[in-house]
Amino acid sequence: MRILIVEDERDLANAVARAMRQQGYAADIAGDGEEALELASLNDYDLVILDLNLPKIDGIEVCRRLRKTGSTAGILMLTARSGVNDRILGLDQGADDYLVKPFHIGELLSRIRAILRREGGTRQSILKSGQLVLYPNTLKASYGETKLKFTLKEFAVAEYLLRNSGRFVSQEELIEHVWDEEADTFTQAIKVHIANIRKKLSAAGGDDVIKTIKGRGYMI
Amino acid sequence: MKMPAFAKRIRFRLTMWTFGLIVLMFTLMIVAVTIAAVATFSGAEDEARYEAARESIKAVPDGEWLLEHEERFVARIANYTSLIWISMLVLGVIGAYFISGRMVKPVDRITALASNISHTNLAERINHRGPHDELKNLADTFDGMLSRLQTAFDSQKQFIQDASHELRTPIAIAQTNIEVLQLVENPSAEDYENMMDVLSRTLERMKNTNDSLLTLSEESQLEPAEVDIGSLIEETVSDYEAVSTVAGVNLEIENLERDINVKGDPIRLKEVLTNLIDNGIKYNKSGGSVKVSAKAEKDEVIVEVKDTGFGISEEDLPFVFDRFFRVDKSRSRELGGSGLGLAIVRKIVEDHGGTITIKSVLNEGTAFWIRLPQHYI
Repeated sequence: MRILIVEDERDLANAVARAMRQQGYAADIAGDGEEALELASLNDYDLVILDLNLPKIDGIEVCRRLRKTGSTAGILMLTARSGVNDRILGLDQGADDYLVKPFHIGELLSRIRAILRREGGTRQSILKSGQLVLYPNTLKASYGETKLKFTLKEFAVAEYLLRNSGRFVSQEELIEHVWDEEADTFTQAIKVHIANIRKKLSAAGGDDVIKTIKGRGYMI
Repeated sequence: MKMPAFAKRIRFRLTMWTFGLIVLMFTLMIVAVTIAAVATFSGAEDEARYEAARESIKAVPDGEWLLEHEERFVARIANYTSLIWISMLVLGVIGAYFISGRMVKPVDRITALASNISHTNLAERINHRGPHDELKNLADTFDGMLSRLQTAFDSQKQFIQDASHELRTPIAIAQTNIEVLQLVENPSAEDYENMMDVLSRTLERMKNTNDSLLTLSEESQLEPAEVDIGSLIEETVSDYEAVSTVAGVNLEIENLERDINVKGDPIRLKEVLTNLIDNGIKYNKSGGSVKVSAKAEKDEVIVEVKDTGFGISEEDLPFVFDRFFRVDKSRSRELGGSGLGLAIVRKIVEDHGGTITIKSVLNEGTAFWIRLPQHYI
């Protein structure tokens, strides 16, 4: 899952980004409304955390323009404004949820999971395919009775494939959604991660959980 | 003896006073008539002559009728007089009761309103209609006081909202940074060092906001002294020489009329200059300039601070003196601005009985003019 954090307070944006990466999400930061729109036009984000009070273009306008250009990313507004009108305006312009500053990081993370669940078309907080089960809340995974010890990136790759289960996901799409701008990722890295996931799965007795078709990508 | 509640009312007392006054007048009149009567018959001789005269009148034709007629007339006058006095007493008391009621009504309304007033319903007014008398004066004064209180309360409320809003962000930064580090397994020493940097920046920011808020909310306690504007400007400009050199901004005194004074608090007035010069340097390009001038004109001292900085757009200009208004949010924050500097400047200038005006063109520069009453030594 790739997340764009739009926040002009650097110290806050960095901390939120760190929390996101800690959860295995890829996170980019935009410091103002203009940069946010530019990054959103370049990358396909799954979720945008959007501060309302932004330099250059304010958050409400960013939200409106994102929706106007057809973005389906989840939008979570962050606001220091206590006024209910801003929240109404934001939600009506296409935001999915809001959180008032100061917030607890735990609440932010669980709201993000809730938005991502809604986007993925599944209301379940547990992702399942055959015997493979992923718990995004706790970053735990299991195959049948066996617990799987995935690294954060492996978990993120498996999670993305599972959320899109039943269709082929290309290597480029994986890079787009699992890695952020800080990482200079090559398709080779993805091959390595997929190989590691497969190794752990087959050690747990799950062969051929991830299918590959050359030129089209991977599918769970 | 405990008086019943109705007896304590002005209305009751006024009624009783009227009653007493009428009774007193009545008594006085009876006393006067009695004295007149007694004085008329000053002795036994008079009385004998009166009786003799009556006997002589009885002897003439219709004399008896005349005497009886005269006695009936006197008796009737006495009856009528008593009746009039009693009616006057009753009407007077009733009238006093109603008139005093009417007079006291606005007072009752003020009392009712005052006992209901709290910070939540300061919008109510007496709106007393009537002649311009003392009561109307009282009611209007009361309404005026409510208006002033309402304005003060509203501005306090706005202030608290602004302040709370302004402190929310640093609190969010501190809280999020701490919570995120708590999420990290085995944080490194570098993690803690980074967090300390963030926390110390955040605290510094809250401290600045807090200090500025205190300056703004303090009742202006000016320490009036004779302040030589020229020396004050020279002092402030020399304080900022190093800062302006680092920023690559040319700070200079353009025109300085000598020996002009104002009456005021030198520390506060210096804060005004500091704020304006500081802004002029901060929001400026390298190679730009800040020029300060002062002159006297028609009993006024005019100080001008002019820069060639970023300028302020037309739509932002009306709000620059508002609390927490920032022209360029991100830049102001980077430079440690609390959004209160110009609000403080205006407050100090106005506390000194002066005015401040601004003119600005985007990307060209900004000029401030401060006008203070001149003080002649």
